[in-house]
Formats: sequence, C-alpha cells, structure tokens
Amino acid sequence: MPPIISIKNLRKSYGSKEVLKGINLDIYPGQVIGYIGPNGAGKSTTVKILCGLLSDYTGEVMIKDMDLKTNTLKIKSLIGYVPELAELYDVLTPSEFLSFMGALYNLPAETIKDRVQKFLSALGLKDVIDQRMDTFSKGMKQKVLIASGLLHNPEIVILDEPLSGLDANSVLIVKDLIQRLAQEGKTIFYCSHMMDIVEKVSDQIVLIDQGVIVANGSLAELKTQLGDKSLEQMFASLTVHGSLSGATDEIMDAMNN
Amino acid sequence: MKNPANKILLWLFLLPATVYRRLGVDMIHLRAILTAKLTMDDRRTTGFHKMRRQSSEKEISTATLLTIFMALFMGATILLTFLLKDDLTRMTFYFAFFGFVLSMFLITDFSDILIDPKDNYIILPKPVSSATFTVARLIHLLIHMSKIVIPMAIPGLVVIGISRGILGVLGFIICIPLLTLFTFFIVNAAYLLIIRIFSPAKLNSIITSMQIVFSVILYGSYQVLPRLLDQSELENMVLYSSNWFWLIPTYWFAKAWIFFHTFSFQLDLILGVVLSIAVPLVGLWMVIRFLAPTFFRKLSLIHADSVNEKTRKKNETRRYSGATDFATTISKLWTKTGPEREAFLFTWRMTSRSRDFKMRVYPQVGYMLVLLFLFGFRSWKHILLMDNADFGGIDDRAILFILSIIYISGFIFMGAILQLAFTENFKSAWVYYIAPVTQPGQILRGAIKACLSKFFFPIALVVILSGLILFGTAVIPNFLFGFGNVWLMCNMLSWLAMDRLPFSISIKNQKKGEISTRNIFMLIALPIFGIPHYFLFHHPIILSGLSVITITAGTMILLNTRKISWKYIKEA
Repeated sequence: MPPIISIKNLRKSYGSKEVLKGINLDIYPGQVIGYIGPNGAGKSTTVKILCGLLSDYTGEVMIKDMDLKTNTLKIKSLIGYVPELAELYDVLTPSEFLSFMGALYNLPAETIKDRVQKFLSALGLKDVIDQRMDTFSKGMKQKVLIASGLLHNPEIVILDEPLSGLDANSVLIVKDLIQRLAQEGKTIFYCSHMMDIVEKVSDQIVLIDQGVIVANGSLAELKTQLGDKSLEQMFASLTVHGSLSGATDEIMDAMNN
Repeated sequence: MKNPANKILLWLFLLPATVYRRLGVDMIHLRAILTAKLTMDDRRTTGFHKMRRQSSEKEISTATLLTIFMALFMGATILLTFLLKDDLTRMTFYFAFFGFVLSMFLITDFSDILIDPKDNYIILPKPVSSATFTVARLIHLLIHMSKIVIPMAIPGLVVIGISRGILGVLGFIICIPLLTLFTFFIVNAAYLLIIRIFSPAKLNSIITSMQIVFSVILYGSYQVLPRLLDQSELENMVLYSSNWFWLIPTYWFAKAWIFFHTFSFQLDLILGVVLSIAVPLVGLWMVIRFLAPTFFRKLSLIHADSVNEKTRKKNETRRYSGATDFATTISKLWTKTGPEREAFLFTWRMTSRSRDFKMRVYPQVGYMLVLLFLFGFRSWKHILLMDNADFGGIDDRAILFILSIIYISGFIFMGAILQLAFTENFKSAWVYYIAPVTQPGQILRGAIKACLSKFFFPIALVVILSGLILFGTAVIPNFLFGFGNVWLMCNMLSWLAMDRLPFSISIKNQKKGEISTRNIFMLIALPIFGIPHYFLFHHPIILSGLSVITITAGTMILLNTRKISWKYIKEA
C-alpha cells in the first residue's frame, strides 16, 4: 500500500536558522502518527507545511501522490486541521463559524446545517450554538475547532494539541474519536506534548528534536530499540541535552539561596 | 449578517461576478469570506471604540453604524473649510482634510479589522485559492472604505449641490473617488515604509501612537478650527498662484473640481485634472502590482512566529532595558524596597506597554496641549505686554492663562490614576491575591508614585521652567501655591481612586459613574482651589505660606496610602 503522506528530505529555515534539517517520513492510510518533540523542535513548522501554510521549504511533500507545492488546493480539501491555539473568529457564534468553514469546503448548506447541529450536540455545545464565542472557555473553543476540522469528513486529520483545555470527558470522547476515525481509514497526524495520550492513541510515534527525527516506530519497536522504558523516559533520554536532574538541582539551589 | 448597509454594499461589490470568475475567484468562497468578515466588523471594537475612555457593557453590534455616523460627523466638521471664500483655497483645504481624516480612519482600522492574523490559521489551511483570498481582502477593504467615504462626502455633496448646482456635484463625485484612491495609495506606501524600517511587531505600537495622534487631532480640530475660522483674515485667505502649490496633491484635486464645475479649458485646470486622474490610477496600479501582495504578506507577520526574531529581540531589549534603568533609578530614590518598589516598577512598565491603557490615557496629553494652545491663543498678546518684574500691568486674561497652565498640569495624572485599575487582561491580577501582601497600601503607594513620576512631575517641571523663562522669578509664589494645590488634588483623587489594585479590574466593570469621577472632582476642587488663588494672585507672602500647608497635606495623604488594608480593596 503506498503512503498517503510521503515526506522526503524536508528542510525549512527562518532566516539563517534551519528548523527542519531533512525530515523523511512515510505515513500510511489509517495510521495514527504521534508526532512529538520538545519546544522548538520543528513540530509546528512540519504541521504548517503539511497544511499548506508554508510553501518556502525544500525537499518533497507528496500527499496521495500529489506534490503539495503544485496541488495545494486539492490537498487542502483532503485535510482537516485543528490548530494548537484556540484560533477562531470568536465574535462569531459556533453556528456562524462552522457554516463559514463548511462553505470554504464547498459543502451544501443543508449538509452544513445538519452536521453543525450534530457535532455541537455531541460535544455538549448545543445550548450555546447561537452565542458569541468570545465568552467561551478555552475548552469550549477547542471543541468548536475540533468540529471545524472534521466537518468536511477529511481523509487526513492534523491535530495540533487538540486536547488543550478540554475536560476529562471531552478528552475521552476525542481519544475514542481518533481511534474510530483511524478504523474508518482516516489518517491522523497527532502532534502533542502529552506523552500518555500519544502512547495510547498512536500506531507510530515520531520523535523530532532540533529539526531531525531521532526516533520513529511503534511503541513496541521503540521499546525494543531504546530499552523497556515509558515513552516519557524515552523522550527525555533522546531530547534532553544535559541532565534533567541537573536542571532540577539548579532550581532547588535557586529556591534555597 | 443583519446590517442593511453591509448587505447593500456586499450586493453591489459582488455584482461583477463574471469578472471575478475570470480572475479565478470562487464566488461561493468569496461570498462566505465577505459575509463572515462583515459580520465580524459589526461586532468588533474598532479604533474609534478603543479611543473612547469607557467601555460599554453592551455588545458592540452596531460598529458599522457607528463608523458611518463618525464619518458623517467628520464630513460635517470639515465643512468648516467651506467658510473660506476663494474656491481654489476652499477646495484645496477641504480635500486636504478629507484625505487626512480618511487616511487616519484607514490607519487605525487596517491592522485591527482588515488584516486579521487569525486568517493564517482559519482561512489559509482551507482550499481557498490565493486569487479568491486576495480579491476577498480587497473587496473587504473597499466595502470598509465605502462605509467611511460615502457618509463623509455626503455633507460636502449637499452643500455643493445647493450652492453650485449639478456641475459642482459632478466635479465632486469625480474628485472624491480619485482622492480616495490617492489616499489609499499613500497609506499603503506609508505602511510598507514603516514595515521596512521597523519590524512588523513594532508596527502595532506605531499604529497605537497613530491612533492616539488621530484622537488628539480630532479633538484639536473640533476645538481649534472654528476659532481659527472666526478670524476674518483667515476667512478671506487665498492661495495665490505659485508653482510650489503643485507639490500639494489636494491643490490638483481642487483645480480638477473647478474644471468640472466651470468647464473652463485653462492650462492649469487641465493639468490639475490630468494629475488628479493619472497619479491615483498609477498609484492604484502600483498598489495592485507591487504594494498589496507585499503589504498583506508583511502585515500578516505581525503576530506570526516567523518574524525576524533577531531584529525583534534586539529592538525589545534595547527599548525595555532603557526604560527599566530609568525607572529603577527613580524607584531607588523614592520608594522603599519590597512591595512598594516592585509596584512602582510594575506600574511604570505596564503604563508604557499596555496598549489599552495607552489608548485611554495618552490622548489626554494631546488634549492638554490643545487646551494650552487655546488658552495661549487667547492671551498671548496680554502676556507679551506685561512687566516681568512684579507682574505689573498683568490683566485678567494673562492671570487666567498662568492659572490654567498650572491647574491643567495635573489632568493627565488624574486621568491615569483613574484608569490605572482597568485592563482587558484583568485575570492576571491573581498575582496580588496569592502573594502574602499584608498591606495592599504598599502596592498602591508604589503605583501612585510611579504615576506621579511619570504623569505629573515631568509636566510640572516643563511648566515651571517655561514659566520662569516667560514670567521671571515673580511667578514663584504662584507656582508654589498652584502646584501645591495640584499636588494636594492629585493625592486626594488618588486616595479616592485607590480602592483597587493596578491593572486588576475588567474594563467592562468600569461604570459610567466612575468615569466621571475626575470631572466631578475637578468641578468641585478646581473652584475651591482656583478661585482663592485668583484673588490671592498678587499676594506672594500669603501664597507662599499657604503653599506649605497644601504641600504638607498632599504629602500626608500620600504617606497614609500605605495604611490601606485589604478590606477596602475591590476585586475584579
């Protein structure tokens, strides 16, 4: 089976700073990829490139055998994106915002209306469907964003910290949803700092540090390669340059002096 | 989208659908984007809303109507230029004010409304073509400009229609869109120039400064223009023919208007028509071809993380470290270590960096200058005539001028201290409540001292030095008593206002009654302190003696602020 996303030697620089230094990655339909790494590792830059937000990269990104640079619009219609920050037009109501999103994916008005009702009802936002979102909590906004990312039934779902601000029940719903989407053949690119969730939902874990992939495989494969550790321990051993306990010692020293 | 003005404008601008389609625009996407943007415009706070000192608790659902009303009002205000009798002079000034006000509207709204950084995350990941996105932004811009230009032109159109008939209206209808295009080009170029010189991140603070300048100019022109035009020599002012005037673009537009009005084929009028048409069209071409793409791209970087980090950090480090060093020096001289000093530094920094605070307080510096100008404008002849040695020959107008500059010097501090508690970011105030601060009075005193150091002492110093140069040492007793009174008034008001911690209360909780506290206070305090001062103006010994009492009283109040306890503190 050919990969749905194929990334070859992907490089991206901001000025003189190279943030992606040759990423190579193949992702297959129905996979849930956990894309993890410390702050500044290049996760968000990868996500922005996959979503067509950044085009000044070198290397090759093929999605469904289409070059991202030359088929940006077609590829964008295959992707559902849930951004990290609760970035939405919060002076609109959820209903207005999602209708707008649906129109940008060329969904028929009736379909939009129907799906908006169902999504918001499932996410517990039915009562505030016509209320402006500037009064919403971070978690409520995040739920609207999740709905907006799935509204057009995309083949690829890119989730950038999707559980940020969600309550425990909503986290369970989203975790379950990720697995159900994967079962239906959707490809999930899941970018997060939350190791326990990544560990539970991902088929394949990709660990990126300083612009390069430092580990790639299923949890079992990583355990074989790196010793029988938790994902959190593997993450620390591959991305901490120095020692964590050293940093802790410094903090304790600062407090005690 | 409920607003009829938006509906009509959207319908009008979407009429050339065939043209848009040929440009590669997806009409469904275009309509969806514009509908969402116009709905948001109606609900957002515009630059004008931010300039208002109070924040309404009501939802802003009529922002479009308010913009239209403001533009109509400004259009009526610039009609004052119609008092000028000479056609060319009048229209040159009218078009100059029109272009200026329009450019100010555009500058204040460009980044807030038209360039939304959220588009990067919301619209750009969607399958929307760049042609659709660019056309949507341009139409959004044109609709926004129409909401300003049309109402602003209506008063002029009506007056010209009545006084000059159909040909005058025709000239006006031709000139206004050309002037609008020209203004658009200038604003675009100015923005691009600013972005080239400064980092996109710095642009926000420059826009804030421009908004402040705009509000001052609005207030100043409202106050000063009628007075200037009251002077008959100005009324009869005429721009005589000089080649230098061709450097003023609105001079071309005035010539063009005269041409269309009279159809007189004079060379200078034809040249005016050619320039009025050619320059805006060339400008528009430059905007579309070169400026707009760079402009939108660069403006979208304002909040993006791909800003040149190095430049940004360099600028910020330089700016903040400078301000901090100065504030630290003053704080060491004037505050005790601990909460008082930290509150001093915190207040100093926040009043420099908080955009909403600056928008509410800094325009008052301009208002003060306008007031001083007005007082000076009325009394300068009387001041020049007096004898500096003992105020001999001084008349009432000069006395009122001196008293005015003394008592106005406290206005900005009073505005700042009343606004100090209010912020959009009030949730950050948790820091006060989790820290084991036993006496919030220490924080309050630090904050008051920072405001005094920043908003009162520098102004007082400038006034004192200018006064000494202008009036000589004879003014000292009056300055002592006057500034003693202002010192006392400032501290009294601080005492009244200081039942909340700095930057701890939501702007939405600012009640209308509280906003007028300063006005009521000034209404009561000014006569109480000012009238005795007026009658004691020529009694230096009494003034000097009384000043000891007022300065001591003010200082006592400030010292006692530190005793304020938690039970007097209001929370968000």
